Amino acid sequence: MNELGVITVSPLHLALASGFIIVTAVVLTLLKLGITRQYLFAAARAAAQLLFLGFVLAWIFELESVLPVLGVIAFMTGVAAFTVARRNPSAPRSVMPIAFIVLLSVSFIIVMIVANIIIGIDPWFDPRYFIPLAGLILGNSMSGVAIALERMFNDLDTRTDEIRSLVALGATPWECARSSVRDALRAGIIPNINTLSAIGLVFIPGIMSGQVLAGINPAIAAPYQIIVSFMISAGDSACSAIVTLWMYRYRFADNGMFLDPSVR
Amino acid sequence: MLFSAKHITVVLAGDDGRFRAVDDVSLELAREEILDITGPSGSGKSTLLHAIGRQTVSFDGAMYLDGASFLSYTPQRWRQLVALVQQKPVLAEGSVQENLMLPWSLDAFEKIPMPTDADLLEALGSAHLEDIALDRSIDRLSVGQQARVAFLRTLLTDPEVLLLDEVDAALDDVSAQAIGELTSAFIKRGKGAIRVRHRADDGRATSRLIMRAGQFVDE
Repeated sequence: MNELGVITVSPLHLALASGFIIVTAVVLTLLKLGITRQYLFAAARAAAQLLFLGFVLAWIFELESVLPVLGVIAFMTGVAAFTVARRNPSAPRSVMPIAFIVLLSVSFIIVMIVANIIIGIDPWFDPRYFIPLAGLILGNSMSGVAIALERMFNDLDTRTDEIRSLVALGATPWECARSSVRDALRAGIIPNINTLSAIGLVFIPGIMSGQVLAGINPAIAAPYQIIVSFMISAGDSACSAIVTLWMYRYRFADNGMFLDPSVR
Repeated sequence: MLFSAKHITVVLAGDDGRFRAVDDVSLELAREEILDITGPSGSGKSTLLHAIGRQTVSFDGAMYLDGASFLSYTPQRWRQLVALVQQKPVLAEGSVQENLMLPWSLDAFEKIPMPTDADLLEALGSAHLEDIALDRSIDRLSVGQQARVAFLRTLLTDPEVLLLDEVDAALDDVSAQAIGELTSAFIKRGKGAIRVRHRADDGRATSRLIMRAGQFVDE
């Protein structure tokens, strides 16, 4: 135990926890699912990434300088934007830069508000708050944006004949796309509402579990979790809305013609 | 001259690379004129009609409506004035009335007077659909009736030129006849129509052009 009363995890503990992975891998193999190798690789990757993250964060916390903090956030945003693009293979190529710009600016603005207006940290970029808060927004917004884009592009293609008729009647791209955009935004944002409804009843969210495990009084951890949950839902909604509203236009030519799958 | 198109060229991507689906074609259309364009499949008739209606991603050439260049209109306004009726018109779910009024949910129709229920009933009557109630669901109409409703929808938007892309190709004789009558009545109001047709000549056209491999030919 350390001074906070937290039990420090030793390499022995980690080795024992790896038992979970080994048992699961054996079950996967016996069931002939053909994903044992992927599973083991992903587990090893998770361990390596988290250990690496621990070292990098510890190092950045020591530096007390702003550039490494922004660098880490830009790197995390890059990975998130790449993931959004990979989950939308049929999307226009500009999906990656657009997702990057939107995720980065929205996360930065929200973290600034939470860290410097609501909580009040010193210095303003204190990596102990800045990096985990940005990570929470990025991780959740990434899923929201990926789902919303997938839904929007699929729905537009499904509505090809209807959209052609609308274009023929003189509809603008927005008039053609708006029902798909709204549908996509609902799909991206509803998981958020479900999470907010179930939080604390069905599951104890990660940040609160972490704080409680690290020895903080649950009554102190709860208000933190409220701020974090509100922040996450705002970030996800904002990112999904901005990215879809920005990108639906890429499915239309300059003269407003719909670029259906046959002419792309 | 109501409408003219000069040196229209449309380049499309085909299986053997890019080709000129429409190759330097010009045409004119006077008021009260119906121009029929015929020719074999793949000769570029439909592509030409889409280019005239600004329903292609791009084209080369110039077009004039009442002497004004197409460039002086927004694409949306042009599509409303030089209106294309597609071969397979798509009606939205809902009632006949909702479908006929659909254009007025668009900005391009802000300044165009909205038809009244009486106007809609009169339009239905003119297409021999007087027994169809305005609140009838679109799903409960036959293919031919749906095609007539889609045609009326475009007529009600009061275009100057109608572009008809084989609208009667798959229709029963009664529906095809009704659409022919409506087209003749339409041009008598000082308008024009260009039709791409496959069916036997219905004697309504005032001039005819034959298209082959992207160009007009003598026969």
